[in-house]
Amino acid sequence: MVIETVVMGIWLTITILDLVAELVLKFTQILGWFRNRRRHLTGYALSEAERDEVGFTLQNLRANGQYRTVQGVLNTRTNQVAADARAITSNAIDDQLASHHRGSRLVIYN
Amino acid sequence: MSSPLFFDGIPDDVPERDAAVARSRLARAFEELSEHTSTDQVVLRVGRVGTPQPRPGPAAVHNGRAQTDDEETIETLARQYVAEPPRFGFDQLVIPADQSEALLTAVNSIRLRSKVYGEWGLRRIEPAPSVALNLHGPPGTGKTLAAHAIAASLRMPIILAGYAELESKFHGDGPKKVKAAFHAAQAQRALLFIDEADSLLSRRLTDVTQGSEQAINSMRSQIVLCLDQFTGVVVFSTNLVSNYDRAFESRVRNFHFALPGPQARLAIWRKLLVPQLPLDVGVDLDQLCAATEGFSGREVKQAILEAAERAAVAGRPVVGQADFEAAITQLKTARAELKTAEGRPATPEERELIESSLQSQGILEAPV
Repeated sequence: MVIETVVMGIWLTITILDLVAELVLKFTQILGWFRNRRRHLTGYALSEAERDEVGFTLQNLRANGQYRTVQGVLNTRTNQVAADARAITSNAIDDQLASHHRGSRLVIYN
Repeated sequence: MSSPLFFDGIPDDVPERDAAVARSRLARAFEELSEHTSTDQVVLRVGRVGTPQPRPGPAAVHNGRAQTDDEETIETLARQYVAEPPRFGFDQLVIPADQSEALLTAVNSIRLRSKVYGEWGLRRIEPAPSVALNLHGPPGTGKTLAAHAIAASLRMPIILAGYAELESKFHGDGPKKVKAAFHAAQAQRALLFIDEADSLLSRRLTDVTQGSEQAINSMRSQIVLCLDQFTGVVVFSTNLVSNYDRAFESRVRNFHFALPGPQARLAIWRKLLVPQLPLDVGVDLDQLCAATEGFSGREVKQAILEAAERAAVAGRPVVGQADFEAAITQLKTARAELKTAEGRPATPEERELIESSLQSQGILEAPV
């Protein structure tokens, strides 16, 4: 029983590590989130409120070598970040996202 | 205390002893002349009639002392800013007549400031008179075109400098580049146009934690210094400055460039549809004007170019209404895509806002 539990624990650990190790954050995922958000909110039409909005990604490289990317929307009129900002942890990022963040931790999309 | 003098253009092959004697004599003559004139800024240019205008050279010396490394760097950097003839005039700019008149009045008042504020003594009540124009508004609304038109009306060449060129990844180089751009404009008697200046004119940061924030503050302080010493005309262009630095409030006059309304858009369509462009008889300008609501002048131009290319590629002898409509639809789609697909580095203000919001939401981790 103890051995089975240990084996199961090791298997789960390996599985989780595999999932994290395979995770590459792609720019299309970032773009997709912005697009889905707009579709959900306004059905593609550019509302007045949306004209004041800019998207952003903020990226940190952690000490363990993983990337932590925070994605969200800033309203430039109210100076507020929308509450649905999300954080994504990944082992790698694709070239397109990397090129956006080259030399800049915080990138604005407008 | 008088400002330091600089002597520019003594050829490199002149022995230093001879150059020093020349500088000393010129300095004495200049000081004597300054004592006998009531204007606060005297600029002399010496040369034979008919010879080309001197360009800033490496032989500049301040008050007879040897040139420092910094001064040499400024002069070297200034060489990259070469004045060019303006490419547009006021006849090509579609803005309301009262706005173009106000622009010209502002420019002329800047040119006459030594008389008004020096000779007439108004510097006592306004120590920092306006020395620059800031043309602000959305992209494509004619700000760059207006800068060229102002230069043309003043019969001045124009030096074009963008914020991206002035900013440097090396700490301390940004302020030098700013200084060099002003130096070049002064030396070449050119209108200095600084595009995308949003970051330069924004409020200086009070809580500086990073080197990059200190660098941007240094550049903003350098701009203030340069504006106070500059005797020419400088025009800034900005898209959206939400928080101007107080130092610029009196020094910079703001002019807003809005997206064109229906009448202005129709005028832009008429101006840009050049007589040589073969148009189908069915082209309805009123309809095209209505379809391009919210377009800037630059976007109307893009629609015309796109439509003409479409017709040419399809082998049609004339550009038709369908070509224009297809081009407009394509531009509208591209606009929506661009809304999310293009990235740019955040400004220090945006960084402050976003980071503090994310920290309060508990999403942001401290950078490691």
